[in-house]
Amino acid sequence: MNAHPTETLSEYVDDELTRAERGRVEAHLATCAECAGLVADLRAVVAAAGEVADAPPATDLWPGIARRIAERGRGPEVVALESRRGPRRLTLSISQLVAASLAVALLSAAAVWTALREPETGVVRAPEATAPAGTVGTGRLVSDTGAEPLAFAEYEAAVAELERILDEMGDRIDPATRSAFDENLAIIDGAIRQTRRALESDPDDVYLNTHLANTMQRKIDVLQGATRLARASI
Amino acid sequence: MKPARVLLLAAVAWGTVGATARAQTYQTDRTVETPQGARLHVENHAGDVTIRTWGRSAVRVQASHRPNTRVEIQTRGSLVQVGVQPPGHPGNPVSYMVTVPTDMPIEVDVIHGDVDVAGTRAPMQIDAVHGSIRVQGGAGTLALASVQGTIVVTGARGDVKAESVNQGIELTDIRGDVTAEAVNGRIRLSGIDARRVTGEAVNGSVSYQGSIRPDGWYRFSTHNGSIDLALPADAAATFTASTFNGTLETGFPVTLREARQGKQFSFILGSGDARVELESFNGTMRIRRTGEP
Amino acid sequence: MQDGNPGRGGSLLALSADTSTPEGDLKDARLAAGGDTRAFERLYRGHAARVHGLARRMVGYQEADELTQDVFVRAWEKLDTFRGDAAFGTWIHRVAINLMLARQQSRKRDRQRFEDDDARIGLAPVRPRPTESKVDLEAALESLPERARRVFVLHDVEGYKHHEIAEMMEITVGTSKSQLHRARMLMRQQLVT
Repeated sequence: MNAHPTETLSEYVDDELTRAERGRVEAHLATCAECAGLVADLRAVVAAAGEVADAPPATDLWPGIARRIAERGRGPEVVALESRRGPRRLTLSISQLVAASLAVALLSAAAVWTALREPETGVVRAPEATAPAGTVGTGRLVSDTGAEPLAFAEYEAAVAELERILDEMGDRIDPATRSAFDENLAIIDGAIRQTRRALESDPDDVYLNTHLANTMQRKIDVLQGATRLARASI
Repeated sequence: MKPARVLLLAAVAWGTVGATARAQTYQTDRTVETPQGARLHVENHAGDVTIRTWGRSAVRVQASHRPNTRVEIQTRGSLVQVGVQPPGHPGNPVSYMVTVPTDMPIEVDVIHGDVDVAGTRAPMQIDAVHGSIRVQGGAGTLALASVQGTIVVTGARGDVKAESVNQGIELTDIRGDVTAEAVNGRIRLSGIDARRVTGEAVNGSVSYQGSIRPDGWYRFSTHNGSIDLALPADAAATFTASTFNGTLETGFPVTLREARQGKQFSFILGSGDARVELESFNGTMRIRRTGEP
Repeated sequence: MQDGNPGRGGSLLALSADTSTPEGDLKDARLAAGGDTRAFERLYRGHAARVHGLARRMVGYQEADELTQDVFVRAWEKLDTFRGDAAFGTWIHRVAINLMLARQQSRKRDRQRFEDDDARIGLAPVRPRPTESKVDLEAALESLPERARRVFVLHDVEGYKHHEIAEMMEITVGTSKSQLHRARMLMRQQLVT
């Protein structure tokens, strides 16, 4: 990689790289003033964050708190469905990684759109030859084992984790709801399978790649909804 | 199975239910004055929630429930919270009729039960698991989600975000941006006047009838299903239609420019200002003039 | 994360908390769980600065007061679940973060596509002028995109590890790392140049 390893510099600063990675970064820093400067800047940001001091709120909030807890008294709280809703999004790195890998392809799609908006040219620029799905800029998206793009492996890990949680807590959701979720997950799985099969013959297709990413994200959304429901059920 | 429905007659017939109540059906009827800017939150494990409006600065809660259940209305700052003790469950349903000021924001969480809101000019957030959501009115932002229930909205004057897992979504006469997502259900959007519209289904068709504004972005996508757009005759937009196994039909006289071996089509109508994207993996995509078949 | 006040390597300046100790907190928490509001007020005095600081950095100045109140009320309700195996400060800090994340997420129903993440969600910068160094950092924080800001606050300010942040925010460790890097790069533009 002859480009700057910018994306890994935070991990370098936090000492989270493997020895081999660390060695490569340090070798680069020895010869690159720009990246060395960036590392110094990042350390300064971390230092500034560590020196944050807290001061009490300008208004004394205790009277309001005292009033509210007096109203509540001591008793079991009304079931708070907001805890059912919980953090809503598992915004996976999948979306970002797949999206990043499509950044080049999508630029081409935008190019198509822009070209079409110039009616005089009469020529549609075909989407430029895209970088193979799985690489982007200076980052490395293809896993070291090379078998599958890292993005899909991460997606499968997230799905497996959510499915495991759902299995453990599955009896907390009533059977009708559970089977509705299962049916819909099967529908989404079918769509994912079909799209992946289509991608085999046309791996660079912008639409198919975006569609796959969107459908995977939809599956994560539905799984999350189900696990949230299970967590909140009494 | 909706036990609440079995216990109660129509939510409208409050008076008669009280008179002919069986031993286990108990009525609560309380009205609470509310400050300006207050918002409502109703949580119900089982039972329907119906919300209507009136001109008073107060919230009236009429509930039908078992005698050993206590309806609680708590006012915390600007929040009016309605729920029951002990917490509800399918064997202990509670049916609500709540009357609120027209401009009061509403939040409803129901697990087993339908939600029916009418007459408000305020934002709302409604979550149902086993239950349909029906809204007439609304303003600001409407965020509606159901797992096993249809979502039907008419006459909203604000942005609508509707998500249903296993049923369809029907939005009519909306003035505001629209996002509709379903896994296994049909999405029907009609009478929409919006700058930004997204209709996405996995297993279901998506249909749209509405305006196409020059600064607009309209996106319709489905895996297994058709897309049908009915547009004004003077619609001006750049269209991109993508598919794997499907086809594109258009009732407008256009020259199709095929970008990739019959799988992606693009064309321009008029000045091409708006952006319209259609995607159907397996189905037909149709673009026609409003009023034509 | 070690016991005691979570995370930061630097010193914690809590102006009104000079009498707050983990043992005293535990005693007060037990009393408060039994309904003693005086004991709970002592806990409030000892930890309000910390919770409010977190609230300011996570949701901005305008909502920090209300959110701080909500955190303490929630803590009051959940006091019987505080078993004392972690310090009270650590425990209420966790309550605060869970509440803040749940609130923020439940308000936003939009699907966050990758393009939306790039939108800068600036917080309304309406607040009094505190000390100099705080102006720099908190002002810079307000201009970060929401998710990057949260990860930065949790990691670099509050001292959580990526796997803890990933669990709290329901993201992967990879996302946490990339959001942190993104936040630091944006903060760098504002603070260092």
